Amino acid sequence: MLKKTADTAVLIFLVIILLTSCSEEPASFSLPKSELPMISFQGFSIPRFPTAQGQLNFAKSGFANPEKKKAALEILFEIFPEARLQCGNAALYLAYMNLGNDYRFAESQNYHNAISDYHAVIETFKEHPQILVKAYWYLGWIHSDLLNQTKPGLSYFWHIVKKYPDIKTGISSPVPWVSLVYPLKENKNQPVRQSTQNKWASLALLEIIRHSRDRVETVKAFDTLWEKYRGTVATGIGINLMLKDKSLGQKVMPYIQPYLALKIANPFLAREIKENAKKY
Amino acid sequence: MQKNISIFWHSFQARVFLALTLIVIIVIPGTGYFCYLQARKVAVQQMQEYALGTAAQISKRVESFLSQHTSSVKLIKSFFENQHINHSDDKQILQYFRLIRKDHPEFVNINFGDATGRFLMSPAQIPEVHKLFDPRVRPWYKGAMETKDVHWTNVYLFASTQRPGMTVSVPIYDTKGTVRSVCGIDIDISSISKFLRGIKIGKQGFAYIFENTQGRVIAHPSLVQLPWNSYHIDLLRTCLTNLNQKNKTFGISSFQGDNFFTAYTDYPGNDWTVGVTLPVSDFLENILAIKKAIISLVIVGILLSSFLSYLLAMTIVRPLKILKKGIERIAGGDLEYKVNINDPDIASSLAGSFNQMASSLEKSTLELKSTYAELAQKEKLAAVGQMTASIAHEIKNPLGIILGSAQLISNMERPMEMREKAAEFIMEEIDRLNKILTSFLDFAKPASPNFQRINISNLMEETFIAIEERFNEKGYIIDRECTAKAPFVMADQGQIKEVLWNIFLNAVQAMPDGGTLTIRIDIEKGSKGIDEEIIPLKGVTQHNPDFLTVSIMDQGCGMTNEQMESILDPFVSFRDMGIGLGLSIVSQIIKSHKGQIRIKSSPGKGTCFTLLFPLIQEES
Repeated sequence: MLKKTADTAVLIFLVIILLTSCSEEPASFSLPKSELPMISFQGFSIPRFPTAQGQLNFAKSGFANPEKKKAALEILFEIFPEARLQCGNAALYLAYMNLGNDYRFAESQNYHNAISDYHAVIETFKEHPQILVKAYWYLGWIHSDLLNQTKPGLSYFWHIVKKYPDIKTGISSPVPWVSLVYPLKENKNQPVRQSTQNKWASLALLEIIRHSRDRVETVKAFDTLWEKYRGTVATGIGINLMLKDKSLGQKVMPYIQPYLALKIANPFLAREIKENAKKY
Repeated sequence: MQKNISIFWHSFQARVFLALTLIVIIVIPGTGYFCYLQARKVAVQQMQEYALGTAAQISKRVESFLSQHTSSVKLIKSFFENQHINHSDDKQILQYFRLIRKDHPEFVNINFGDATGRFLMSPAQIPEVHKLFDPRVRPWYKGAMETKDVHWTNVYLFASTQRPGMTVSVPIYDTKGTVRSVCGIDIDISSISKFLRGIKIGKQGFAYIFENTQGRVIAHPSLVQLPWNSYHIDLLRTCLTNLNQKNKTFGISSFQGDNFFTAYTDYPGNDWTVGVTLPVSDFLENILAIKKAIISLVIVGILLSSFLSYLLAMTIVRPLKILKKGIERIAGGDLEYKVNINDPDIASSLAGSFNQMASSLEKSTLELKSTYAELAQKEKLAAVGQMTASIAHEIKNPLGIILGSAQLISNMERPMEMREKAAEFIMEEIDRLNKILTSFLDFAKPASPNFQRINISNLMEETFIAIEERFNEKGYIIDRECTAKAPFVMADQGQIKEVLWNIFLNAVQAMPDGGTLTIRIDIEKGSKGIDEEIIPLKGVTQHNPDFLTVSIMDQGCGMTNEQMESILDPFVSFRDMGIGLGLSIVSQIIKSHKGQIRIKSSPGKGTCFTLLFPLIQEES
C-alpha cells in the first residue's frame, strides 16, 4: 500500500514537471533567411537566380529604371549563355525596348533600331522557331503599324503564315513571387497564366486583313484564317473587319452564323458582328 | 542493504516523510504551474489586443492609400467631363495619361475604354495582346458600368509588370448624363507590402492582408521581396486553416515545429482580412523566463522541502525511538531506566508518563519478588515438613521393630533362639533404614552426572544379561528389541544404569505373577514436543533434533490417569512397601540429561515408560 502511494507520488511529480516544462514550449524561432548572390553588372547590382528562366522572369518584371531592366536582361547572355531559349526571349525584349516606354511616342530612329535588333535576333537564334516567329511578327508590326510600310510588313506576316503556322503566342511564366499571390492556384484574372489558343499565324493573317489594300490578298488571308484558325478570337475580329468594308462584307456573310455558333466571340464582339451583318 | 531499505520503506518515519513530501511535490509545482498559466493567459490576451490594434492601424493606412487613388481616378474623370481632355482625341488622351503617370509613378497603367471597344492604355500594351484586347470584358470596365460609380477590382496580376495590383475605375459621363467611357488606373499594391514590411511587430512578427473569397495573399512583407520562398505562404495557409477549423479569429498554430500566434480582423470596406502572425517565442519570451525561474524554484523548493520534511519526520519519530529504547531496556529488566525527552510538547509528557509507568512497574516487581520469596520459603518449609513426615513415617516402623526386638533381646528370660531371631530383625531393619536414608540422600542431593559417550544398547545388555536367567526362572520373559547399531548419547553410565534398574524393578513389581517385559531401543526423528537442547559439549554440535528412545513395557496392573499425574512426584508410591522415591530420582536424572520421560498406561493392560535421550550429532 505504502509502496503504491510512493509510486503514485513519484508519478505525479514527474507528470507535473513534464507539464510545466514541456507544454506548448515555444522553441526559439527565427524566420528562414536565404539570400541570392548579387552580381554587379553595368553599374547595377542584380541578383543571380539559380535558373535562366528565373533570371529572365525577374528581368521582365517591372523596373522603374529602364537601364537597370536592360542590364538585367543582358546579364543573361553573360551568366546563362547556354540557355538559348531564355537568351532569345531576352534579346526579343531588348529589341522591343528600342521603342521606348511607349511605342506610340517613339521616333523613327527607334523603329529602325528595333528592326535592326529583330533582324539580329533572327540571325542569332535560328534554331528556335518560337523566337524567330515573334521577331518576324514584330518586324511586320513595326513596318505596318508604326512605319506605314505595308508591303514589307505584309511580307513578314505571309512569311509567318507559310513557315510557322502552328506556333502559339508565348506568355511568360510568372515571376518567382507570383505563387505567393495565388496560394490556392487560382487562375482567375491572371493573364500570365492563361493558356492561349492564339497563334502567331492567326495574328499575322488578321494584320494582313487589317492592312492589305489588295482585295484578293485580303480574301485569301481571310480564307486561310477561316480554314485554319476559325476557332480563334482573331477570326471573329477578322470577320468584323471584313464586314466594315462594303466590298468585302458580302464575302464573309456565309461564315458569320457558323462562327457565332462556336461561341468564341465575347458578347460585345458578337453583337457588333450581328449589327454589321445587318447592312448586307 | 535491500533489507535495510525495505525496513526504512515500511517505517513510520518513511510514511511521515513521504506524506509531507507528497504534499510539497503537489503544492509547489501546482502553484508554479498555475502562476505560469495565468501569466501566459494574460500575455496571450495582451498579444491579441496588440495584434488587433495593429491590424486596425494597418486597415486605416490601407484605406488611406486606396482613397488617394479613388480621388485620382475621380480627378481624371473630371478632366474628361469638364472637357479638359477631348474624349475623341486618342493622342491627347495618351499625352494626358503620360503626364499624370509622371506625377504618379505608382500608377502602373491608366486605361481608357468605351462601348465601341476602343481601348487606350498608358504605357502601351504589348502589341500582340493589344490586337485582340477588348476592354468591355475586363472587370474594371464592367464593374464601373454596373455600379455607375467608382469601382475597385479584385487583386490580380498585371501582365506588364507581373506585380499584384488592383484597378480603380470610374464611368465618364457626357453632358446628358450618359456613360461615354470608362477610365481606370492600375494600382501596384506592392507598396502596401512595402508598408507592411516597415511595421515592427514584436521581434519577428509580420502583418498581411488576404482576400476572403479566393484566399489570395494580396499584401505581405515578403511579397515582392527577393529572394522569395514559399515558407511564409505555407505558414499563413496553415494558420488560416487552423483558425478556420476552430472558427476563431485568433489562436496559436503549429508550423514546422514552431508555434505562431495569429490574430485576424476584418478590413472595412473590402472583403479582406488583415492578419498578424508572430512566433509565440517572441511574446512569450518573458513568460518563458518566468517559467524557467519557476521550474528552478520548484526544483529547489522540492529538494529543500524534502530535506525539511525528512528532518520533521525525524523530530516526530525521535521521541518514539527514545521511548522504544526505554521499553527495550525495561523489558530487559532494567526497571530503573528513565527516558529523557526535552521536547516542549506531548512527547515530553509521554516520556513522563512512561517513566511513571516504569517506576510503578519497578515497585510492583519488588513486591512480587518479595511475595515470591515468601511463597518459596513457605513451599520449602512445606516440603521439609512433608519430607520430615515421610522420613518419620518410613523410619517409624523399623524403629518400632528395632525397639521391640531390642526389648526382646534384653529380656534374658527369652529363649536364645528368639533373641537371635530378634537380633536378625534388628539388623534387617537397620539395613532397611540405611536404604531409606540412602534414597533420601540421593533424592535430596543428587550427584552431578559425569557425561561420557556411551552406547545405551551395550549398557542395556550389561545390565540385564546377568539377571535375565534368574528372572526367567521366576516366570518373567525379557524381550529386548534393540537396533543393530544404536547411536551414542552423552550420559552418566552409572545414573543411566540406575534409571534402567529402577524402571525394570517397577515393571517386575507390577507383574507379581510374572509376565513379558519388553525393552525396545529406537531412534525418533525430529523433536516431537521436545524443546530441550542438547547440552553443549566440546566437539559436538548442538541442535540435533533426533532422540534415542528406550521403552520398557510391562503387562502389569497399569495406572489410572490420576496415578500417572503423580507417579513422578517424591514420596508417592502405589505399593505397600515403596517409599515413592525411585521414579522421582529417575525423573531427576533424565532431566539432568536433557531428556524426557513419556508414560503410557492403561489399568489392567500394563505400562510403558519411554526415556528419550538427545543424540550426539557428529561434526561433518
